[in-house]
Amino acid sequence: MLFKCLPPGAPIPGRFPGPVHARGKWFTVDIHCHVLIPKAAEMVAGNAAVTRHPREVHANERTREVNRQQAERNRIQSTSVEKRLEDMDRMGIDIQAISPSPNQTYYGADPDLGIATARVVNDNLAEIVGRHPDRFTALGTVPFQAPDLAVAELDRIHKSLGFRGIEIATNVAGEDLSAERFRKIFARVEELGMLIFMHPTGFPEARRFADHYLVNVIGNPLDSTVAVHHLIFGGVLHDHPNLKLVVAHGGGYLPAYSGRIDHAASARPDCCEQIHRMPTEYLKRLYFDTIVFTHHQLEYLVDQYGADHVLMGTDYPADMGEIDPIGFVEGAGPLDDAERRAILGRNAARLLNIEIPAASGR
Amino acid sequence: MLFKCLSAGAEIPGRFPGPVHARGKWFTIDIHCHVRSDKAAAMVEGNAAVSRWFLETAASERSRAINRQNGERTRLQGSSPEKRIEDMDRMGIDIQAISPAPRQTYYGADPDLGREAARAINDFIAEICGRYPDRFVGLGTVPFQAPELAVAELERLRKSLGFRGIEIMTHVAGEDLSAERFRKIFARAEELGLLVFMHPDGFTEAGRFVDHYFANVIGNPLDSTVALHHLIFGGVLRDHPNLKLVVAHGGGFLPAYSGRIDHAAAARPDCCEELHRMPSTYLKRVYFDALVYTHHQLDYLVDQYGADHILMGTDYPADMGETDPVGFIESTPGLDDTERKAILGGNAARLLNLEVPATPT
Repeated sequence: MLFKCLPPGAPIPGRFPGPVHARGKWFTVDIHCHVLIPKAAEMVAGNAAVTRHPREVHANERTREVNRQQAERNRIQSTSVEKRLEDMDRMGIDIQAISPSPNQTYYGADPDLGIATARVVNDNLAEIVGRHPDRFTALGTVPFQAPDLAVAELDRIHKSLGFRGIEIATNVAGEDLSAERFRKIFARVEELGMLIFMHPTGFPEARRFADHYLVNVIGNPLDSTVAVHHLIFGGVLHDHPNLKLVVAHGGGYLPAYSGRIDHAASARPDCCEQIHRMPTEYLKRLYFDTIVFTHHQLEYLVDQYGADHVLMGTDYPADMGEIDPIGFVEGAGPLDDAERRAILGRNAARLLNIEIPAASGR
Repeated sequence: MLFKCLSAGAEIPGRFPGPVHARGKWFTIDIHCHVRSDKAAAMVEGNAAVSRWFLETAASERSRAINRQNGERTRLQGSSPEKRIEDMDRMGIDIQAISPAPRQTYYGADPDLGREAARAINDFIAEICGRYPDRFVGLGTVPFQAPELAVAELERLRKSLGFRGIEIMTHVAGEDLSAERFRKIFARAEELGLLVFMHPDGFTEAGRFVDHYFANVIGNPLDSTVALHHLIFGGVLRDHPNLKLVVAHGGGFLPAYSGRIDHAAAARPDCCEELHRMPSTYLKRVYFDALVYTHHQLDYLVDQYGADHILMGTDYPADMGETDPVGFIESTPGLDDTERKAILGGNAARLLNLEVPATPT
């Protein structure tokens, strides 16, 4: 048997689409779901520096094999808008805020290739949104490795393509997001009022994560954790208080383990050189998706950060995704319906400037 | 001003001793506190491979300077049992389960030096416990890098020195704890009923943790996180169900973020190859110290793992320590007094086979 941990006959999680939920009970927006753009993938095919991906590089052979099977199984879901709509209808998702597959941020590309692939990715996302404007909104990508080009592309996707946000990765080909040269990107995003959805791409130095799929199991929440620390302690959140930053997978480890940063900042002068408030004050400005898999952690996040800071996500169509996002939020006991409504769609609507349909009961 | 984050006049945390708590109200055991053996330090002096220390090598120059200042400030607390007892009396600590300063585990030493350093440290700890048997219990060290020698030292420290547990690191000079060659050490610790207190020493690949003291702030909970994953997914906890494993700093990130491991194990056949139960089943067998600084996280750990799985710890005398451990647990709103009693000392007494005084004094 493949899954030794699962009791016999138990359903295998992470295979989309999940159980049926009728649309209409809630207004629902999925903040965390990805589209694969084959045309952009062709532009970098065979370019090892660009396609190098820590989750693959360090994974053992078994994991790479499972990844290949997965990619086969969900290829249509990654690329076909019709299949995607069918799954959304089944799962009760009104709107997907589609972002590129994280591999497709291509921050390792040289500036020219980086802007070229970003444009192709963004144009493809725009095409999907244009065909179904009531079902999709786009989170684009910009070439962080070339900040001036990134700012230009930000302007283009906002003004010409009408995007309300972007996806960013948790490091830029190994460079941390607090580097001075990236400041102009954050500044422009803040000015434009765009949402940033931050998604990890595994931890670059993952030697100890080769087995047991730890490249993803640890690597993904870890890289978000490192990125959030750098954004806080490097002063980025201090200087850009209106940034609307949503961090994938419940924000990684830090929101669940936040006491240490405040202790360190007040016990160690080498820790708080670039901030003027307790680090958790900046952490509390962030938003997190619901992909934490347990009700108790979701409730903890809501208690600590507020229901207005948590957004429903699925990671569609990945196997580490939550296939029953509505059932998950409905089933979280202590939440009241106003909180559920916020988490399921209203927070995303507010941050993305989406008008909520007037239909009753929502 | 040095501390830009602190409001003017606010107290600087992490400087022992903390506020006064009279002994006697609770029976209290500190599971997480360190002693430093000058003799063992002298044995490895100048030996770069052995004294290599990720919390130092990964840190910025500023952090190293502050580490040196802290080392100076806490030198007496690290080495003098009398100063230690004075601080324990003030803070309301009945017993310290003293373990070596983590860097003194010296897993980077060759086998002979490793064994000699471990023996020197264990003898030093035994000497302190022998002088003040009602105030200290020893958690020793064994040379993990040389498993046969480690097993022999386990026997010696249990049978000749009367120790009830050991401290181990979160990796062995870069090698993960699930490696086959370490199994005999875990097997023997389990057989002997010794408590294993696992303490991190920073993350091995800390290139991005140089600034802002991340070498410790992220590195320490991270390395415990990685070690726990390997102990679970590598089958160590499956094969040694009676291991009494206590993980420092609230166990690192994993106990606070446990949903992902079960999802992955059920969704990915490459994840659960060596397990027969959900990974969180094994996680629930583990114990955690209370060093998480916030009441809400302590509450959460108690809710998820039970008050019988949480042990009070200070990290004395380090600046990342909790200087008011008794006050921290007394003031956690979600707990009742039975739970407080368990966390403050009852659990440690049970795991260390210490008798709880009928009328604590």
